[in-house]
Amino acid sequence: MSATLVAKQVELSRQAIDRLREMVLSGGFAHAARVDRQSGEIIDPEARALFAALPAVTPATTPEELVEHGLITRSPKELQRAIDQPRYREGRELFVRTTVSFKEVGRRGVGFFSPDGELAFTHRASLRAQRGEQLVVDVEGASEPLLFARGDVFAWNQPCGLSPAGGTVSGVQIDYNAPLFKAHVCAGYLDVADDLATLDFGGEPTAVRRQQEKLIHRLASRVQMTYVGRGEGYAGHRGQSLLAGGQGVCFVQRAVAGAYLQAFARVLAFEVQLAVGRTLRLNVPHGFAVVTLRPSLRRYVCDPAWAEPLTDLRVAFFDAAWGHDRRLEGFEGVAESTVRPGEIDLPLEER
Amino acid sequence: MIVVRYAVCSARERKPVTRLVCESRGEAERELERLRRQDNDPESEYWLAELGPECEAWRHLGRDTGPSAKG
Repeated sequence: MSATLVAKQVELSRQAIDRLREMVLSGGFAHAARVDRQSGEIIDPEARALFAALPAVTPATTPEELVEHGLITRSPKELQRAIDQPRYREGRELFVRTTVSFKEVGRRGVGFFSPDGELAFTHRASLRAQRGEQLVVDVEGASEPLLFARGDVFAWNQPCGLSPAGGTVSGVQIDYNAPLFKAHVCAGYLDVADDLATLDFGGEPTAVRRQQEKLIHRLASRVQMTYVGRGEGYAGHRGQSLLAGGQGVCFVQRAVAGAYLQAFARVLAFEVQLAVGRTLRLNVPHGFAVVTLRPSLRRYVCDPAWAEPLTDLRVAFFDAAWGHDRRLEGFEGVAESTVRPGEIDLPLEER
Repeated sequence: MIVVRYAVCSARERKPVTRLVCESRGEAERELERLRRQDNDPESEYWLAELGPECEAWRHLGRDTGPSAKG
């Protein structure tokens, strides 16, 4: 494509963003983004044309590209430093698969290591050291640290979801190039752009984390779906048509929310895992997403079907008796399996 | 919408779940009543939901939870 054509395209998408901004600020976006219940198509032909002219933002879009599009005014300060901090370091909380008890015992919560328990995931694990090809992990309830193969720990804790090109997960088709998906993502960026400009990863860590939490909560709250059979909205397989007003089971809702959040992950420094889980009380399947912030590596659950945009993971997995009724069984989607040596910073332990 | 499966759903404290996925409406209605009796929980709500051919999520929901999980 020639430089003139590229410049013209950038100009057109900037004009479209300016018009979308007016729409978002005037409160007219939700109306413009309405879809036909049966087909999932955008109802308003004018909105359809505007949304088609917007730039596609995918999980691979760089902060610099977002600035160039005019979606954000500037990238958060020290973003690269936040991303460059090792993912696997001492004290990082992990998911590991070992023998676990989910019995309710007083007020201590569930998911502790138990030699007689069932083979399952626990979130009550933290990384301690490396020993050869194994990682040494403290698991709550175990009298001494446990050893896990590095490959297993990475498989259970690396980001896992949609590829930057989109795809299908839980039967939901995610197309980051679809006009309506572009519109929802761009509207999300316009909504958080001012706060994003004040984010400084070189700042006080707790303040940084709180600001990330606030912004991710706001973005996740833009996914407004109803449980299947309880609404009148679109119930098909297109992610963009489900996102606002659609209906779906928990796996569908978390596929939409997870894919949506992934479009913001690079600039807000967080990771997404699309989780396959189960409830504790009724022992039925339940889908949700796990969000891990960088650089703090603090974890959260995003569970749109249960109206929980962002809940601290230790709370979310605490105990059914306390209203937190879920456990992890696995993951769905494309896993980011490569872990660079620079992402591991652990003390070496003797064999 | 072409309906290919029926989800038997319940919710307690505004936390909806799919209890079973059935192949026919009649079977789903019977299962709903069975679960209602089994739970004996006045705080729970129950309903049936129609799943279209594109709703692949039933594969997760059908696991080990009822008739559709067989095979």
